[in-house]
Amino acid sequence: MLDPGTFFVPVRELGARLRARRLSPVELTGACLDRLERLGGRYHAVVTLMRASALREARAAEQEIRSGKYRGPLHGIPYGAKDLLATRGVPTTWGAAPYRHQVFDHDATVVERLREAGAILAAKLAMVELAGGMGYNHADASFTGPGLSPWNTRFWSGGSSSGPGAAVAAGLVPFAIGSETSGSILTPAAFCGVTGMRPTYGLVSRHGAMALCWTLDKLGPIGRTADDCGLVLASIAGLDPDDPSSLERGFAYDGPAPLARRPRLAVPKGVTEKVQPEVRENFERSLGILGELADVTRDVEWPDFPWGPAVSAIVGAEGASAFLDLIESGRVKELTCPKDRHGGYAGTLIPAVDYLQAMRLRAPMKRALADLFEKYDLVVAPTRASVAYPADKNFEDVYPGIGGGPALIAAGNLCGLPALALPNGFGENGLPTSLSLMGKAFSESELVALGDAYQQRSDWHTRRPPGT
Amino acid sequence: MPDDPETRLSERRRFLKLLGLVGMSSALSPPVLAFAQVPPGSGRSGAPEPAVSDSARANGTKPPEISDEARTLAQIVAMRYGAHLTPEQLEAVTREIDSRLTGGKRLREAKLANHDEPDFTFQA
Repeated sequence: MLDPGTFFVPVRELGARLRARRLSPVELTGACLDRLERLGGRYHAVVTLMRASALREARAAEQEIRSGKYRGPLHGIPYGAKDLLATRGVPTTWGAAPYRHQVFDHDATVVERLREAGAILAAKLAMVELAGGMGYNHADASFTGPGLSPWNTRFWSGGSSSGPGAAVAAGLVPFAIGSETSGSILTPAAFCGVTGMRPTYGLVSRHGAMALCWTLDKLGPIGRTADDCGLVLASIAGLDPDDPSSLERGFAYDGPAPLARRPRLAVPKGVTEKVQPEVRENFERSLGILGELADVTRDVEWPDFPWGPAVSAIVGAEGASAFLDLIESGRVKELTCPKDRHGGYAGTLIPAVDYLQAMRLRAPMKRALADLFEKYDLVVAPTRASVAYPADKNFEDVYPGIGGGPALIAAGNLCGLPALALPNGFGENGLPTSLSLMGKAFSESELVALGDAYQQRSDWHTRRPPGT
Repeated sequence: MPDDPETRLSERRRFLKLLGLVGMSSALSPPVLAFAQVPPGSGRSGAPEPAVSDSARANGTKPPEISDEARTLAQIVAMRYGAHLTPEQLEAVTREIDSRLTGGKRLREAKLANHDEPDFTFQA
């Protein structure tokens, strides 16, 4: 019987215990499977438990480690995958009732790479149906039920990677893979009080992942620490002939690099103007810690572009195209969230000119942020303006008057930039708040280094939700 | 739609604000379409979503006017997909079209030079 604290130990430490044979992959995987089975339903976090294959892989990992064939820090570590990643012979539901029996004959590249690294797929995790592509406005937007926060199950776990966020927060798996088109890794990481990384567009192959928006979709890790995100990213990044958007450039990582010099941090103007009071207080306290490590400049003007309309036009048009068969057949009415049952129809009428305007704007947008990153190394802001939304209300009815200022999530995604969300305290109803760092393309090393330094000086990432 | 609800909320609030300003003029023009073109009783099994949020309904807040342009475009949706939509859903789609028209206007207002290419590359 493992100590419950084991399920909240970072991947690096778990890996060291496994390598030293102070912990068995079979024991760890079996215990995680039990927790996924026992607690997963509480948060609506699990779609498919991979018990048989996971235990088989765990036994193989145990044998390999015993015989000296050590694959690296993920060897023998169980994990969960958002259920938009294809897994051979096992349902891949995309969180949506019309696809609940869909089975692929191949594994997503990310799943293959993690297997090569010795990680063990323990569960396919819940998600907002079609990754939110039909415009959901309620937590109850998946055929597996609303994703619920382990910190307070009356509240949403965030989306669209709702299962990965909740499963990591509740210690059901040490890490998970999520996806982000515009906010879907950062938001659940924030609402669940865990660490999430959105990698640079193209750094991680999307082959075998559900397509919502070809020019914006990205896969990335959700874990307990920045260091864990670095370890996982290093295993999944790199060129993939099956994904033309993937890049030769990989991500080498064996630990956080020491900060070579004091990073220059920009706090965009207006990021705390309309946030919840606790979000502001926690952010200010975080800036105090970051100020020991970096030079912080406040009230930096954020470039003025129609970030929201651009991301909306691109996701709307590409999403309507990606799911045109579902929309035109009327099978969208099988979706769970009432808004998703009609949300795709308006997308079919987005003029090509609007889509092209948005795509043309991405170049000047990238130039504007590149100029900003000449003066500053990283941008820092609250990840979300509020704590998690109540699970029983439409989004437009929650937290009136609360807003996040500049559209940093939209901007970062439009420009393909990496970001790291870190827990930084608690707000109302015992729910976590979060801080985000965003950098220029391929600045993942800097993000992890500063994130790790922040987490060495804080303990929010070590907190455990009640009843876990 | 973006999968970031906060961005969407902020755009929706901006849209509602704009509609508050244009509502007077559009109220002078009768709606082009009153959804009569939706085939009756055809494939309306989806549960209808209220076009107005619960809080707005509870507060008795009048929903913002929908532009004639959006109502005209909604006729296309009605013709193509009316069999799949209830009147309430079609009304919601019309509001969504209106919101997208507002976003589209903002995209078109952005300054771009003739040589600014879309940021994707086709390779043979």
